[in-house]
Amino acid sequence: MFLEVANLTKTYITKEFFSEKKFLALDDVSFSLNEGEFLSVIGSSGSGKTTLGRILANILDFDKGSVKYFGKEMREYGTSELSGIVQMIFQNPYASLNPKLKIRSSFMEGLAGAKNSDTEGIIEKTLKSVGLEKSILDNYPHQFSGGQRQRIAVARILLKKPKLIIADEPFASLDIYSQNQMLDIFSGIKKYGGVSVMLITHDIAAAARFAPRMIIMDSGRIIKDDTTDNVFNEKKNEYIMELVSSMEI
Amino acid sequence: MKRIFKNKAALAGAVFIALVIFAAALAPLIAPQDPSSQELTQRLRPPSAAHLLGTDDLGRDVFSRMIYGARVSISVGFFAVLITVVIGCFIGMLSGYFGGVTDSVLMRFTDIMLCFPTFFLILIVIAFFEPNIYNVMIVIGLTSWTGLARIVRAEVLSVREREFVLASKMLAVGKPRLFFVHILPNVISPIIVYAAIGIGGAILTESGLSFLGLGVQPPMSSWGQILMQGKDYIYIAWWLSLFPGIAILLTVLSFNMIGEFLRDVFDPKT
Ligand SMILES: Nc1ncnc2c1ncn2[C@@H]1O[C@H](COP(=O)(O)OP(=O)(O)O)[C@@H](O)[C@H]1O
Ligand SMILES: [Mg+2]
Repeated sequence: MFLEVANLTKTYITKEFFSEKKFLALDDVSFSLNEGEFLSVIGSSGSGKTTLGRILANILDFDKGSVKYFGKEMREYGTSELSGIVQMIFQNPYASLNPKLKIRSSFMEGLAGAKNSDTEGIIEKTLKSVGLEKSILDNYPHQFSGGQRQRIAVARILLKKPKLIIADEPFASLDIYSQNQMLDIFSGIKKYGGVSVMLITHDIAAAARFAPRMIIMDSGRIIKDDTTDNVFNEKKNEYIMELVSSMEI
Repeated sequence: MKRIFKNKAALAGAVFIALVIFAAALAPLIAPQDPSSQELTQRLRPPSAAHLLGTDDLGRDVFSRMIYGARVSISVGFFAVLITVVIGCFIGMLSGYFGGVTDSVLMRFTDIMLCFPTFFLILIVIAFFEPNIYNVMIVIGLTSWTGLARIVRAEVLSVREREFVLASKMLAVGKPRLFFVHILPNVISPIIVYAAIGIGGAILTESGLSFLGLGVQPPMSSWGQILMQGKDYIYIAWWLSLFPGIAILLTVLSFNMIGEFLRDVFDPKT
């Protein structure tokens, strides 16, 4: 199994003046993912989706449980090794690129450590796969739209050839045209094979279009892990029904 | 850069500061008279063609003394703030970047420094050591970094959680690059704003010290010192107090205007 998540628990502790506030954001979360599998994680706002994504991307600590890539604990990987396994796209495209750096400088970070001679060729090819020209490299992030920035971010992580891309509400702030463009880019990735994409969203329509499998989260727990078809056919759970019907309006 | 032409107050401030710096730098060429040559027949003369801003109780030309005094004010302002920025940034960044025990220790130290009334601390130190321009710069610098350290810490704390930093972290970007390329350039703007306003504050503190006789010592002149000498003659020679007072006021105001302007430029949201 490529990714195995078992009994994952995360409690946020907020320090106040004299007390601590605890919030259980992930409660005993377990699931697994095959190499090359596409998965949507849906749930209402605050259900713990971002928390889960960030833990799997190793940018957030967790309390209990285990996260294994290729059978080895995530915590035992070195940063550079892990960077070739999992990468993340963030919800806010406007914060995803350093505003003070030219795109080229940010972009090259994806290639650091790669021992390949034809860097320019790789860059060109990668940018093309997300529908961008090489000339963008000489500009600053503020010269691009949210959709373009999100595609730049995708291209950058593709340079690392990760096995898993976690996309946390990547089109939440995009117009419908850019949303479709992003969905197409991810479908393109599917064709390479071997790359899993985990789409985090509160939009069940996008989730259904995106992957044949869905994980539904509520209050930090996985309440459903099934095929998209089954989710739509069953409609037993009230919460799921709400999510499903929200799409049918 | 174009925006400063729209902001009249900041533009006026920048022009005024440029003039002061120009006058200070070229003092020997601009000052009509030697600032310390005494003409006892010309004591306490009101402003006239011969003495633009009048003369003091020893018959020295006030205008010339003020131009030389600008050297003191400007250099105290800049060097004191340089010290402030170096210490404030260093402590704030260590604190924000490393967090944990480092942060706790440094921030408690900052809190303690913050508890002392700065001006009295400066008075004590200056009274203890020799009052001269270097000690004034150093003491002002050493006592005014606390606010900046806190600002820098808060900025670093927030920037290091920003998505682009996390993204670079995931790409296995090294710690030095993470800090110097991604975090540092994005916390620089509040530092510049703080520095601009801080220069005005340092000039004011120096004037206060000189007024109390604890600043630069004669024969060197500073605006605060001319003001102090003027206080004994305020009923008969108003120009001795008025002009240095105006110079201090306008300089501090100008630095504040520039600081406010920069704040707007860097942070258009507020
Ligand atoms: N840094 C944090 N400190 C405290 N609570 C947090 C923090 N981040 C998220 N939370 C809380 O954890 C819950 C889950 O958050 P999140 O994973 O962002 O949910 P989602 O992405 O599904 O909207 C929310 O109730 C949120 O308020
Ligand atoms: Mg979220």
